[in-house]
Amino acid sequence: MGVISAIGIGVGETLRSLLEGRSGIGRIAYLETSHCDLPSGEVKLNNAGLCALLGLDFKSDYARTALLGAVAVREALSSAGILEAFDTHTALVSGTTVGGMDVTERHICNDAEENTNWDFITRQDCGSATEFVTDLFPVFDFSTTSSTACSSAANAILFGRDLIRSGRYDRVVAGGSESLSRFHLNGFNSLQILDREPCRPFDSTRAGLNLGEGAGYVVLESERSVKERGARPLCLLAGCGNACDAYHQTASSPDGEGAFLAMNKALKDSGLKPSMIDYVNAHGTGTQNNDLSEGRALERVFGIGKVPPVSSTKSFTGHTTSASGGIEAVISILALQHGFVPSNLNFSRQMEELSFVPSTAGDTGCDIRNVLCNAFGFGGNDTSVIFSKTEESK
Amino acid sequence: MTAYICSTAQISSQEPLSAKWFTAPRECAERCCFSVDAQYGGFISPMAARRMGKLLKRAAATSLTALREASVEIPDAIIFGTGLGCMENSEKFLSAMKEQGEECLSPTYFINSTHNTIASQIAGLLKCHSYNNTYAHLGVSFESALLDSLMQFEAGRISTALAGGYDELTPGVFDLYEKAGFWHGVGKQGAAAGETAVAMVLSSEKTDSAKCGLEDVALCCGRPLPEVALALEKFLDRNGLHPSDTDLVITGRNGDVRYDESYTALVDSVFGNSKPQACYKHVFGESFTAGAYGVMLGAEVLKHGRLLSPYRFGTAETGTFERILLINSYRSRDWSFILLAK
Repeated sequence: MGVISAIGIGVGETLRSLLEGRSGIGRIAYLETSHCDLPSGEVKLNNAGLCALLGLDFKSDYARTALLGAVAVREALSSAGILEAFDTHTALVSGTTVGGMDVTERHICNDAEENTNWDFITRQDCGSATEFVTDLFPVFDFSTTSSTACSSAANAILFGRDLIRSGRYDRVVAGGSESLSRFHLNGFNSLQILDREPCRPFDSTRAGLNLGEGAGYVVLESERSVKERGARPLCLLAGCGNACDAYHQTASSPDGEGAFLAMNKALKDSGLKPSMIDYVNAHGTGTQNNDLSEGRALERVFGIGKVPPVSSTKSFTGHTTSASGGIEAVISILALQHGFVPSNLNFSRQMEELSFVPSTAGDTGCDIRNVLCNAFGFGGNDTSVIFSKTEESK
Repeated sequence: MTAYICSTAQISSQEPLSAKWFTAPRECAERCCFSVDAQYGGFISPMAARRMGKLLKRAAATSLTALREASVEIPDAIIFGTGLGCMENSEKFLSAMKEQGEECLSPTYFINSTHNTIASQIAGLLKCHSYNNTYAHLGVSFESALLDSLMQFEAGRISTALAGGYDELTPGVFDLYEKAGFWHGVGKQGAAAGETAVAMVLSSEKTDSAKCGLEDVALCCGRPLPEVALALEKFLDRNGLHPSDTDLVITGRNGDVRYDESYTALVDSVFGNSKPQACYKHVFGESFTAGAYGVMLGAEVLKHGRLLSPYRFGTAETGTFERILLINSYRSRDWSFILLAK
């Protein structure tokens, strides 16, 4: 797996930040916006720095989403031992919604001049951001992009799993990437759901989300391929579920119907009972609406008084929108591997409407066998993914 | 396994929501085939219509028509492809930001700008809680949606699916791609610009209305042509077929001399130069999801057992139609193969 976000470049730094309770949310330093006082989870490198990491010559036309994706995909391929092209039959399935919107903004809003490379401008859509990554690594002969707003990366993992299950591919890199953009920062701001303070998921005083950016990918591999090349899997992708809330374009239903259905589908798919889930990495954006709706759905799935440890790591990374399902998949797997419950930062007061409080202690030394990870998007697009320890990784 | 295509519905440069395009297609303008909109009153309330952009209205009308024709009320999955999503809304939010800066923006255009607005609005219209997904990947956006649909059937999770392809041509998009040399210009470089709105209902059951079977879908991205040819041979082989087992190849050739050559080279290298061929983008125009029209054409050819002259390409004699292969590509870079059978 590979990851980049406000709390670190790479899996190692991410793990240390999580264990030490070090949030990456702060003032905006790189995005050109008049809202730089809004707390956000920016990756602590500019585009030239990202290019340097990748060994690329810096070009102002590179989309940040593509660069972030490339950094995380390279780590994922490298840690799985498939960076060198021993086989070119590998698929990349990436989730994004912003795509190259940052480049579009620079050209459209700053009145691009005559000498503009128009061909490049037409390659600022979502698919082009994915193809930028595909082109850097010779292992890929398949690439596609799921685009379902904040559940995009989670849905990429669902699609990747099916590519393997159906026998079409033995190896799929799945996840998502999203940079901050003026477009969606202002979009969320116009919806009045950005907190001017660090976000407080599942807290009764919560006042909205902080946006973040980054990328996270997992390498999915068939059992056959794992055995053939003697790879040591990190965990099992045990189950997935997606459902539509069919309630409102941006708001979640009060009873969390879509989230409830998605979690239940994932549980059924995995064959696990709710009581076997040891940790839930919640979508937990910190908005009034999401946390109440998701909280109610969690109570419906697990039962009042039986909700397992829950935390939202968006208090570390900010809401990385389309990438969140990928970054939080990596965090979920780290929790499995290292036996800890990432802390839900900034929590102080229980929500009156809910029977449970999020985990704040950052407990370590836990026996975590099954983790459920939620990612919910605009349009009520709700996805849940379950990761489990395998016999080998126990 | 086979999933059956039970109905299709289109809003394009042709007569909307009708099947006339198959027997008597209108000629497409040389540079752009703007869509002819339908009357949307029968599909959405005037209240709802005011809040919807044209692409959403087209999606509602085509989806509801395809569902009705297939006698499906609530599908088990809604899976769409769109290259650029609701561009009209994205452009409006961008230009508001440009004109009035970053303060006091209205969220309306933003919330309807995400690519999955289309699939989620249809889910909302139907109160459909089923699996819902959207693909936005250049010229394989619709084909990715179709592959996902097929894999949902293969996994036994669904028995019906609503699949579709949607893209609109705003003046802004037309201009941008015009500057990049996408549209018909000097020396037959460039294609006629088009829009897409196609919905189709797939079913695991071979219903009375079934037009054809969807057998398999594959993508091949960023590979040189000889490797694409190998991937195509592998695709046929995976389906137990020899190249001679396909009766017709429908290609996505669009009149752009820079890229049409690669269709010829690919078809010749895999099938020899006497394979009957058809094409459709001269009728519907080019867009990221134009491949959906190709599937629509293939389904009608298999249902009616005939291919009319407007869609024929080349002079090879056609016989009966049992199996059709569709090949589409985005600028000879992203390729898709779709196998349909009677």
